[in-house]
Parts: sequence; C-alpha cells; structure tokens
Amino acid sequence: MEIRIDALNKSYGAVRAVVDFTLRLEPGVLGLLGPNGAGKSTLMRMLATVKKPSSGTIRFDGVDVVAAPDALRRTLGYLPQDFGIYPHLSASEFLEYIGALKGIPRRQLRTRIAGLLDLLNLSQVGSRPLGGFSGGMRQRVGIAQALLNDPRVLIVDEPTAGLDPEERVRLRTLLQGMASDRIIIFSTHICSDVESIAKSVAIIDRGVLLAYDAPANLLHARASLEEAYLSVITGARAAA
Amino acid sequence: MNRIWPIYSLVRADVLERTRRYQYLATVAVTLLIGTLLVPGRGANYETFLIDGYRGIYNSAWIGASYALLTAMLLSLFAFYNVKSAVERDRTTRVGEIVATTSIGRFDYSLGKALSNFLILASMAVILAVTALVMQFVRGESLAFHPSQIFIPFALVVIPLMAVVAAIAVFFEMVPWLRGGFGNVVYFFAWTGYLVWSVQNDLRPVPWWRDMLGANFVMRQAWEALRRVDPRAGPKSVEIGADVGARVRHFFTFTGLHWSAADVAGRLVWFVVALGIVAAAAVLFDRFSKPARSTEQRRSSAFMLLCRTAAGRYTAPLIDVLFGSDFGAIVLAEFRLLVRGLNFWWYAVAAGLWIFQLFAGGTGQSIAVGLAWIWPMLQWSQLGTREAVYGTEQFIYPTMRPIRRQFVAQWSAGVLLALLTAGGSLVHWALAGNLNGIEGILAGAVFVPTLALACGALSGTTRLFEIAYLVLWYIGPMNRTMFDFTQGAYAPGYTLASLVLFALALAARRVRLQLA
Repeated sequence: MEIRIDALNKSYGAVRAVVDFTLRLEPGVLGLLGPNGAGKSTLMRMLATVKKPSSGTIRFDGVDVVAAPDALRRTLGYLPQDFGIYPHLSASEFLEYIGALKGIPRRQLRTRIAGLLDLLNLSQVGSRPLGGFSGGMRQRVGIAQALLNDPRVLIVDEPTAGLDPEERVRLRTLLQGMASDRIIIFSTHICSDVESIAKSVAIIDRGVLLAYDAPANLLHARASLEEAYLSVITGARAAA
Repeated sequence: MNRIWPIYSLVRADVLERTRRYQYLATVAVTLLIGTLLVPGRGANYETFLIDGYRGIYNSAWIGASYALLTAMLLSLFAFYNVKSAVERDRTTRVGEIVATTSIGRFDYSLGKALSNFLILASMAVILAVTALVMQFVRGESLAFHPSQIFIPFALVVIPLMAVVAAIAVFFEMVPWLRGGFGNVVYFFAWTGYLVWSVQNDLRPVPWWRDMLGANFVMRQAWEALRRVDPRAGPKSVEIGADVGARVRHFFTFTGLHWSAADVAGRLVWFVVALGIVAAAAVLFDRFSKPARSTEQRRSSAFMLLCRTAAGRYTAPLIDVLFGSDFGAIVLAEFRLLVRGLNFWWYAVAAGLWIFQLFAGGTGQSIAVGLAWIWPMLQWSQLGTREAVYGTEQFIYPTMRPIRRQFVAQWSAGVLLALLTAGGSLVHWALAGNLNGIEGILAGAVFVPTLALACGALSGTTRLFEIAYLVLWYIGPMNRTMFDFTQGAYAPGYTLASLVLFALALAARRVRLQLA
C-alpha cells in the first residue's frame, strides 16, 4: 500500500498554498509539521479528496484519486482541523449517520460504533446530545468517526487540539498501535505529538516541503525534534 | 454499494437534528395557531376565502379545499425559508467536510437533503390537515364528516407542492449567490410573480406547469360551483388570504373538488419536476470544496473587522473608542460594518433611487419610495445578529457595555442608513412643505431598523427579518395599505410599534448576554 504525491500544487489566485509537493508514503505515521498557514491543511484536504489540486497527481495504490476519488474514499478516515457536529444528535446517532454515508452496513456499523465509543471512553455519554459535550469529548467523537470504516488511510489534522494530557497520550498510543498496516498522516505544530510515534516527519512552510526524513535523522545533534524543526524553518526562511 | 441506507441515514439525522430544536416546536405552535385562524368564525372581522361575497358553509368539502389552497400558499412561501438551511448547516458546522470524504454521491446527498426538507414541510401540512378536520367541528356549520374531502386536496394540492419547494430550497443552497439573503428576495419575487401568473386570465384553465400551487385549480372549481348558484358571480372578485374588514354576504354549499385523471396526473407530475430540480442541484453541488470559513476564522476576522472599522487601526485605538465616551464613534463603526463589502453598483443604485425619490411625483414617487425601502434590506437584516453569526459574542459582550452602548449604537447605525437611503423622500416632502410626509419617512426610518433589531436579537439569524420585512414591504409601501410604514397617517402607530419592538430587542439581548 502506498500513496504517491507528485508535483502537487494548489493556488488561490496569486497565493500558492502548496508548491511542487512530492512525497511517497507507506504504512506508518507521517508527522506533518509546519507553522500556522504553512499549507498543511490544504495539503491534507487534497489528500482527503475534499479539494482538487491546481496541478500534480495523488495516486493511491496506482489509482489517480483526483480523477477517481472513490478509490480512496472507501478506505479513508479523515478528521478535519475544525469540524462541527449536529448538537441535537447523540454521539451514537451522529456516528451512525457518518458511518452510513461511508457505506458501512447497518449491523456492522452498530457493532463498530459500540467498540469505538468504548475505545475512546465515550460509552457513558454515547446517547447524550452532542451539544452538551466538552471540546475534548467532541474531538474524541471526531476521532471515532474517522475510524468508523477501519480505514487503511487515516488523515488527522491537529487531532490533539482540545484534548487533555491523558487523552493526548491515549490518542498517540492508539495511532501508534494502528500504524503497522495503515498510512497515517498526522498534522500538527506540536512536535512532541509526533516525535515518539512518527516513522517519518515532513516539515512544510509556505507550501514547500523543506525536509522529509525519519525523526532520528532530523534530530542530528539537537536535543529535540522541536529544535530540529525550528532550525529547518529558520534556515529556509534565511535562505529565501 | 446499497444507496438506500446512506440516503435514509442522511434524512434521519437531518430530520432528528431539526425536529429536536426548539425552533421546530415553535414552528408547530405557530402552524397550529395559523390553522385555527384559517376558518374565521361568523363574527370575525376578516375572511380568508371569498368569491364575490360568497363563502361556502364550513362542510368537509369547503374546509378541505380552502385549507389546501391556503396551506399551499402559506407553506410554499414561509416554509421555504424555514427549510432552506439543510446544506448550510453542513457547510457552517463543517460536517460537510467529513461528508465530502465519504463515498456518497452528489445526487444522493442532494436527494437526502431534499427528502429531509420534504418531511419537515409535510409534517406542517399534516398538522394543518388535522387542524382542518378539527375546525370543521369547532365551527359546527356542518357536522357531516367526509375525511376524503379534507385529505385528498391536501394529498394532491399541498404534498406535491411541498416536494417542489423542498427541492427548490436545496437548489438555492447549491447556488452560491442564491444561498443568502439575496436568494430569499429572489424567491419572494419569483413566488409572487408565479402566483399572480397562475390565477390571472379570469380563472380559465391553465396548463399544469402554470399551476404549481394548485391555486387556479381550487379557485376555479369553487367559482364554477358558485356560478351554478349565482351565475353573476365574477372570477375577478375572488379574495384569498387574510382579508381584514371583509364580510360574508351569502353562503353556498360547496360539494367538493372534482379530480379527473388528467388533474391527478397534473399534480403528481410535480414530484418528477422536484426530482429534476434535485438533479440540477446535484450538478451544482461543490461537495464542500469551498467550505464556509471556520468558526475561529470567522471570529478572528469579524473581530479584526470590528477593530479596523471602529478606529481605522487595530486594537488599542478601539479600546479607547469602546471605553471612552465617544458614542458617535461607535455608531460610525457600526455603520461602517453595515455597509462594508458593498460594491460600487450598490451605491450607484442607492444614489439613483435617492434622486428618483426627490424628483418623481405621484405614482413615480410611490415606486421610488417602495424601491428605496427594499434596497438596504440585507444591511438592516444584520442588526442584532452579527455577534451570533460571526461568533463574536465572547469578545463583544464582556467588553463593550453591550446593551447601553454597542447594541444601541448598532440600532442607531440602522436608523442612519434608513435616513440616508430614504433621504430623497425627506427632502422631497420638505421642499413640498408636507409635514405629514416627513413624519411618515421618519417613523419608517425608526420602525424598520427596530423591527430588524428585534427579529435579529430574538432569532439570532437574518432570516426572520428578511421574511417578515419582505411581506410587510409588499403589503405596505407597495400596496399603500395600513401596513405602509412610510405614510404619515400611520406614523404614531409605527412609532409606538417601534417602542415595543425596541423593548423586545433589549430583553432578547439581555437574555443572550446571560446565556453567553
């Protein structure tokens, strides 16, 4: 299983959000690091088939997902950075709704929802209206919907936003446990979120891929991934 | 993949989400209230369906036909605005972005949303049908009960129409320029024009495509039945709607609508039309590739907009403005927010209308006044809603002395806009020495922004004012009735109404402040 991104570009008028982005992804966690406005969310939306690129290709197991998005959508889990909910639906009803849209058969879906609510510590509140959920609980519902179809490709944009430290650790462990046979793209600007679980890290700024390597290789002699990240960003900006 | 299950789930989730909101309960309550008003008692000072002074006795046939006709007219207009938010909700909550990554197709999504709209509309129609049944016994003019004469007109006149309205609502949501307030205005005029077109022509039969509301069919059959009793009854004297002051002069017995196979087919074909509209909507559906701005983005940009507008710079000068004593600066800031984003053509048309009001006389003056009072509607509709729409309550409520300063300043900005856009009339009446005319314009300039503020503060959306004002504007300034808030003769009444509405707006804002 692989995703190949070749010479991907996305422009909004004169603004180039993603510039000649090329990357090959295999199972494991890819940590996508970059400052706010770096183009991470635009890249992830293109990978999630929400947005079409201005040019370039995205291939999933050889299939061009820009031309045939359903090839990826069938096996895709996506957690947007800033998503909403239907406040008057319960968590179970909301998950059933999203699961049905993903094409999961009814009986299978019920079992899956029960398992995910349990996994994400939401079983006790599964029948309560989402409108009364805290930010962290909503985020966990978002993670649950992304995992509903047991995706082979999981794209999570800032998934730790709103989670308390215990929940963050639990999410990292969950993603790490899933990563052996899945491609997981984990976007964040918090280096510690990906440092321990990422097989590879891509650093992006102003739409350009600045570095792509294993965390250990990026570290060199630096004390933390955060230092390495800052070094790459400042170096690139100085060169520009 | 089984296509029924995803569509069913989409409809179910959407209907559950809507029917669990208190707004739906309020809609049901209003629908029930309207249902009881559609059959006025013998002592009432209004009538809803008269032909040349005749009204059918309240038997099942007359109640069924008149209720179906009035329900079709009411729901196809007002309920359209009620349901036109199914896709918008997915766009603004960004649930749509998740939906976009699933394999549900454009047509299936559009169909699901249209079906959801249809079920909400049909539920209102069913409530009115049951109310009709009850009201026959409440009025007690005829106790012979024929349920088919009540329910068949609903099934064949109202239900197919609701399918079309549901589909049109989805279509409007898929077209970017029809999504917002401008789309609401377009629908109002399209609906009015279509209704007039379908019943003109002396109630002669019209092809099915010219009678979507079924108004021609029902009114023609009622008139033909009356002609058998009184051959002199004319088709031009049909009165429909809340006709205040109308009195029944005679009664006749209506035996019911007669449906030929062609008539039934002519109604059922509207389901096919609805499917066609859904298909067109699906083609235009962008699959949320252009999502609405996120809540955070909206909050920050709206706040920065307020900051820049208030002081021309950024936060620090704004603080001075907010906490200082310069109320005028806040009014100016609010005024800039009201007119921000308007392009050259908006100002050009407003200027043209201003000159038109100044120089036109007679009918021309009436037209100029009418147009001048509809042109800024989408600006007024922002009053009282901006904080909720842009999510800036948390910034504004704690820091801006929100009631005493900001809320009043917002209202003042609306009044200022009214005085500017209707200024041509003011000058016109001043030059003519017509104090009554000046009083009318001033009363209107206070009343309309106050109505907008109250609607906005109560509902938190722009839609309530847009619907209420469009109707008021049409029956008021455009038809020179007692609802014409620009007439000097009614100025005291509208001034009093403004006071009541302003108190209501303040109370609503206080509640929102406490809940925020």
